[in-house]
Amino acid sequence: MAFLEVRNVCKTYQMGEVKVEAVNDMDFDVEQGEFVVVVGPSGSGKTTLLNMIGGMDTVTSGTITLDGSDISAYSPREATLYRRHDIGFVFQFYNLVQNLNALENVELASQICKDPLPAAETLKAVGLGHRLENFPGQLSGGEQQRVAIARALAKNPKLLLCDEPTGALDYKTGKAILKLLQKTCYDSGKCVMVITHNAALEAIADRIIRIREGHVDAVELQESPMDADLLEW
Amino acid sequence: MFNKEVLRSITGSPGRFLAIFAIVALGVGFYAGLRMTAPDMRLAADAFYDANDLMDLRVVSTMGMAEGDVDAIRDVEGVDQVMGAYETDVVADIAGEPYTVRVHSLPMGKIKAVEQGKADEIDLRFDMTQLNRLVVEEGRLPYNQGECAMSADKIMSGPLAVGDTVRIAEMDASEPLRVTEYKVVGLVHAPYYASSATMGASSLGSGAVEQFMYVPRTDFADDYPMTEAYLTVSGARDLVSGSFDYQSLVDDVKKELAGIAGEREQARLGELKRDAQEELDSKRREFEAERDDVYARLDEAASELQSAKDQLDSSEAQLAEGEREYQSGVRELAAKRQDADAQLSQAQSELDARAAELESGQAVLAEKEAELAAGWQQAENVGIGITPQNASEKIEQLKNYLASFPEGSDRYNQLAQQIAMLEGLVAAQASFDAAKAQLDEGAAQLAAGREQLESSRADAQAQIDSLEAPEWLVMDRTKNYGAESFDSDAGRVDSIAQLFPFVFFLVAALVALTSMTRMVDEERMQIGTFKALGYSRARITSKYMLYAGVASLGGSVVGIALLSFTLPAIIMVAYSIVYIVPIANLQVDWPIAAMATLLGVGITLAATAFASVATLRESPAALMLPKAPKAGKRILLERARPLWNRLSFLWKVTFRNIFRYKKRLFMTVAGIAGCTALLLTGFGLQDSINDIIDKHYGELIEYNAVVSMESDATAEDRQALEDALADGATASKVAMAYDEPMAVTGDGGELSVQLIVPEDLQAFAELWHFRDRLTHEGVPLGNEGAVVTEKVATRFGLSVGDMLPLAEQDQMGNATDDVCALPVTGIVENYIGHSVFMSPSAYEQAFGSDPAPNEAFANTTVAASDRSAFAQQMQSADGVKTVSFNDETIDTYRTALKSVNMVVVVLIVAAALLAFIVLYNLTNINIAERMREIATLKVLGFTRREVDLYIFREMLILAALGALIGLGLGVFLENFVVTTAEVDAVMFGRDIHWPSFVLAFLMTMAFAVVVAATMRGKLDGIDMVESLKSNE
Repeated sequence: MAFLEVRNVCKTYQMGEVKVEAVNDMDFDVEQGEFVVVVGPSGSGKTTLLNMIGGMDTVTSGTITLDGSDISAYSPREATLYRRHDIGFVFQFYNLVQNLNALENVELASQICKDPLPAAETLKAVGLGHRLENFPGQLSGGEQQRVAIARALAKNPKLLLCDEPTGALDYKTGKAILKLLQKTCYDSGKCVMVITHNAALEAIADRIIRIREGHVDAVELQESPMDADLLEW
Repeated sequence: MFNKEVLRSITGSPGRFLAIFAIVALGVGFYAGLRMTAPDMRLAADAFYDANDLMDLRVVSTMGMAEGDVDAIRDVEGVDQVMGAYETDVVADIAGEPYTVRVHSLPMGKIKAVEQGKADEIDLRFDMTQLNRLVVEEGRLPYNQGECAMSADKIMSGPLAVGDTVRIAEMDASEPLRVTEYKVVGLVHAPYYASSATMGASSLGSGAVEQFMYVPRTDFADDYPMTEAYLTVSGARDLVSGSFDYQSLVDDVKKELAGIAGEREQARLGELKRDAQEELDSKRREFEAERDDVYARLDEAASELQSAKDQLDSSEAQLAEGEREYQSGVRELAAKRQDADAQLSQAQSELDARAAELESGQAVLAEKEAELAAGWQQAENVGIGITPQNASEKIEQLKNYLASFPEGSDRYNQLAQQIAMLEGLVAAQASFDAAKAQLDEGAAQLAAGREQLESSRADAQAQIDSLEAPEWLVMDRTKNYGAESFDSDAGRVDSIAQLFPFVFFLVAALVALTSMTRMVDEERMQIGTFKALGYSRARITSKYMLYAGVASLGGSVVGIALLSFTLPAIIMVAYSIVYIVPIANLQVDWPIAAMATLLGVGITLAATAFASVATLRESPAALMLPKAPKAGKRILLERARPLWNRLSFLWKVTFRNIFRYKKRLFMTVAGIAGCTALLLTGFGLQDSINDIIDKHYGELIEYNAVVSMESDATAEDRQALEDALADGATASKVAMAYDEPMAVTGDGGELSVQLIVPEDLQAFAELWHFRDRLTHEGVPLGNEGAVVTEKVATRFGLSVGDMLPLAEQDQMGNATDDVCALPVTGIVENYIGHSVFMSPSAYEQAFGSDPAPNEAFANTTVAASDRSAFAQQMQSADGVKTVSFNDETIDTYRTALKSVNMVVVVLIVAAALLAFIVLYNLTNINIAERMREIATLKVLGFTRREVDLYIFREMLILAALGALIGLGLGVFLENFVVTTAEVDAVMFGRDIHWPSFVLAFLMTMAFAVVVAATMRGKLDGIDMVESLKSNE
């Protein structure tokens, strides 16, 4: 059994009179420890997919199984606990709490889960050991995204979900973030799933899932992915 | 296009619009409603007075009035209607309790005619047009002798029902009423007594009028003069009672009346003198006639004696007859004298007649004496040389001589006849002597009496000659207790109305400021776009001004519409427990409404301009960029490391948020503080009024009954009363004291006080504890100076060591010029009434007389049900005037408390609204602004409860902070309201009890919890996916 199994997942939104099929019969597996890149154009349904995997949204039909648990059958309450303990999120716009400093933003997440990593050390690991006391407003975009990654990591999640993590960052910083994510994946053996519209990112993935118009176009495995440092776009 | 945008921004953010709308409605509505209450109260009073023709002026003469006076008043320019009337104070027994009752006359002719539907046949004995008409609540108006109408008021008429009998227990010595037992045929409201709490002062009973009574005019005795005249002023009906125009119109007539007063006073004096002289003269004539009558009868007796004398010679029998008649004449004489003696004590002048009678009796006696002497002479002439001195001897000789004649011989018979005649003469002489002695004694007594008579007649004449002119007192409605206290209560409401809504306006400004700041922030980009499109700054600002203007104007209109009727109505209903003025004429006072709207809209617009000015100054380019989120900052609390490190992150973020947005902090704290202050004011008000009873009767005084004595009670009466109370069976503690009504005069006006001089300081101290309100330390009565109750001291600005100006009172209860300044040696806690206490030695030193006790304070152990029997028993003792119990007073204040409860409800509702608006607005803004944070927390796996707390903890902490500040603010507000609303007769309690603080705090927090509960749905509705999609 694969670490993550997505089986016949559909997601339909009712927009007034019109039914919109955001995700239509997706089907794929992801193995433990893989660095996965989900790539597709805007509106292809990749964010919806990520939301369903992350327990932020429910499936209309089909099942999603993570580490043996059928998360598509979770109640809202179970979904909350699932997000709390098993999932780490990294967003395009960081979503840090403005009123907490870097360390506290990390601790905010780690204090509510079962087996967290030490917050300060996690921040050191993402290269922010000298910025612990700074507030988000005092940090650059890259630094903020590092704090967001540290916050996701400190929860010690089973799966790290990143939605356009470099979308708001410049090229250089974006690369550094991707390198951090890749390194995290390799060092910790955690499964990292990055969602992007940028096909250039496929180069660094262990597994590439291409999505188009709501369904999986192709799943590709890469034996030797490129080091993020060497990536260019 | 632009206007469409404004409309859309309103419908697009109903929460914000509503917050501004509601707080302005509340502020403007409260301000307008409270400010309109006083005018509404005055209008309602005016309508009530006009409907029942309450007098504009009342003219009281200190010696009564005659028809001529009433006519003279009618002729004064500006006088519309006049009604002469009778009034007297009595003590009446109502359901076994003595009440001081003011009795008024009803012009019965008209009533009777109206009652019988024959208004055409009005028979008005004094052409009285009725003023101060009564409003019958139950039963009918009295028109038969022995019928009365009394107050239908709930407090005063507690034990009264139609059909009850009221017995007059005590009245003026001149006996103004013919009837002493009345049947209550009607319960009425009298416009003359608008207030049932204060009806005026009386020289009888407890010193205050407790009930009123209207009886047919014909129940007043014929020789009792009219006491006063009521009148209305032409044109005054069209003006609002108490207004400046009204008062100046009435003052003009008042001046006119003062103009004729001197003349009428002299006329009345002449009339009174004439009447008194006539009375004296007619009495004298009566006596003289009686004396003549006696003379005539004595003459008759004398002539009878004369005829007896004529027959004295002729026959023995006739002699004896003459003597009997003589004796009966003497007896009659004696009886007359007895009569004279008896009447002497009653009517001085009769003495004259009796004296004359005696004189003539003596004359008759002298005559009789002469007759007797003539008898003796005659007897001597018989030839035996007999005199009254040797009569017995001669008779003895004659009897011996008689024996020398053979019985039956002529000589024998002649002699025997002579002896018998002589014996008769002797007997007659003896009884004559006795009668003469008696008469002489009577003569001496009568001479003394006559002297007395002369001097008293001289006195009576001197009294008539020295009669002083009566005084006319012209009093307007401000001198009417009911009208005046209603008017001043309206004034009190207005003073409160001027300060009270301040807190609402402050909060309205803050709500507008925070809401509009948030709105401008949200629409940065749009503002930038408009600016880029070339719209002027003024044009863009106008959008926000329009938005705020529409919200605040709409709020003003709704607030005024809702509260400008309800608030005056509620306050008047509350007052209706003490006043009989019905609620009427509620109307919008446009100047006040305009003023309130101007304030509400102005404040909101000012706040809006302030909120938008900074953003509008930025360049379009800068506006297009998202505003850098307000950076997190360290707060002071973080310096306290050990504490800070212990806090969870939710707490940390809460504290940082609290101090990050200062405007919201101020808005929330001010709003909640206002809410708590209102609640505390309401509860504190209840405490204050409860304290009047609880502290005054619970802690300060221990007596529950006061027995007052007649002014002419003797020392024995006093001792008897004290002994009766001190026997242990009826009272546990007794203290005697001297009590005199006095007045304090000074800058604070004039205040009636009771001067109380305890006979035994120690015994009195057990019944009335003198203590300082704050320290509870005892206050002793010194050997000089006086101790005053707290309200007297505050009213006249007196502190220990100052001089207290104490004046004697005249009969009307006004201060005279006879002022005595006493040093104040202490100020004591006291809630009901005003007293000045002095020790007997201090009194003697100040007034030079001995304060003989005239009142007994007692703590009776008599059960409540036996009180009236006890009172009756006490009152039957010599010298006892009245017995009064505290229970009645306590009941009065308990009722007054109910009116406060209504005000408390209004305050609670206002407080709740304030709290809801402020907290709703705060939460609304916070949620809108932190949508992403909340979504982030949800994504991170925070449970529903944790997310709720993240937002609401801040609100609850601010609410708690605001509530704590509000408790402090409430103390001031309550103090202001209490001192403003306080009536003269009492001092409200000054303390707010701790349960009120707790309750005000808990209720505020409960409001916050309710807001949190209602906003929870909004938090739940935040969609994580949507909120995280884009940047702000």
